[in-house]
Amino acid sequence: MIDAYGSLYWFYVLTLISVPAVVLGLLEKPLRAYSRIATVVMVVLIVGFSTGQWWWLLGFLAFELTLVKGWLRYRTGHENVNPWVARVAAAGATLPLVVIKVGNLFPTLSVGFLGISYLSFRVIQVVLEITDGLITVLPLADLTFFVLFFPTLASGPIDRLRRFQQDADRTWTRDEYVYLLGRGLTMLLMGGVYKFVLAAWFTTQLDWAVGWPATLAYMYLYTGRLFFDFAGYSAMAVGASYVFGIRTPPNFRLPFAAESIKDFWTRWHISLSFWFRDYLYTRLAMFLMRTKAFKGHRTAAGRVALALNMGLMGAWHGFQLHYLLYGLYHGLLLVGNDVYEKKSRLYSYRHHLAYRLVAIAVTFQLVVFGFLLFSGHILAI
Amino acid sequence: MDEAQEQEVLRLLIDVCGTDAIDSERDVDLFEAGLLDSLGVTQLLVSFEDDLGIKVPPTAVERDEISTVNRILTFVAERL
Repeated sequence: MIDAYGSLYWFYVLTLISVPAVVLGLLEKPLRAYSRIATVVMVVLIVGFSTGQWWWLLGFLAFELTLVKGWLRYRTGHENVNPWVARVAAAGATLPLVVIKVGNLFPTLSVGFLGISYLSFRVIQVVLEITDGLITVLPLADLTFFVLFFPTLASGPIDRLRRFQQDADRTWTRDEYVYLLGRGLTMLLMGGVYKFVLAAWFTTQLDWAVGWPATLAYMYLYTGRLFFDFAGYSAMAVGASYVFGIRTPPNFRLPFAAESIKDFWTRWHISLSFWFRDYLYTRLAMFLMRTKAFKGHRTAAGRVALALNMGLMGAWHGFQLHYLLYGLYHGLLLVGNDVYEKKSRLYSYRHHLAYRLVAIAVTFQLVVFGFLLFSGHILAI
Repeated sequence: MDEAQEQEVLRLLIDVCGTDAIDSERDVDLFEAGLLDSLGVTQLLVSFEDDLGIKVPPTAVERDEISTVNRILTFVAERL
């Protein structure tokens, strides 16, 4: 078992496995077949045979792939499907994740495997797009490759099947591949600096001390470490994907320059936040807007959906209280953000420089407090 | 799309964006201007379905397709 993007051994293996991809890319040959072989090899190395994780992974794959193929067959055979049948299919795809998250509440059980949450999100997305009739053909090998694609196996970013397949099936010209390779290597290097220099520095400064001044310091240092560690990992995952010809979408876009909480969620852990927006929030809001209780109150329905959406986003990190609080906190902030934008006259000054600077500072404070909740530290005081 | 339908779409948009200034600024990016967001998009999709009879699954909508008033009008016209 090797620590993806976390050990020298990993980078050694990544370099070795990338060489044939680079050669194929420069020779304008398809990367498709080789990327699949590399993914199988790397998944075996990342998960490792010796651990129980291996069996969880195989069980997960057998269950989800059967479900997706079964659902695709049913859906393509029926012009209109009962919405409840579609909901059962989506719930089925979510089931392994829920079982494992519940199991994680009992540390002695050691259930699940690395990356389960991210893999689940890829599968659920496929199920919902099959429901919507957007995916009608999906060979098992393509689906498996998308779910397991090794550069993003451990912690995302979460790509979209239809986008991923366009890249995966494409043969790049030399000029295109040279650009991808250059960008990939730059991202790998930048991510390395983020994770091994900056995040490492924040980690040395972190002190799990209690009391308010110490907690305040902890809040900022924890935020620094969280950002550089995860943004660093994400940049490296995107970089490695580019080497294999897949333009995995970025996860961060200057999150601390956000001018509102709403803006923050288009810049922080973007692939997760957009996943929730596109596959959960929109559906939930549309469903609520049509219920009797919210008839004529579409804005209210949308806000309730927003709070629920963020609550579930918190729960996705784990069912522990501090994650639930974090989700709830951001749900309430987003609702507040929406009320503010629609009601406050101050919002009309949003293009002025002074307003923007204050907005960035206020947003930053709200965000770091959220991470203090997320860290669980505040509950330990 | 006839005149009445266009007016209907504009009415829905003004309702969702909360300002009638969009009528005269039809190529402004509504997301960048802070006039349209996820909640607004959802309200639009529900309105399209309930008032105009256009059923679009939310996953089938790219933000680029509906980022300005003119693009939204095209989007609707193609599906009426």
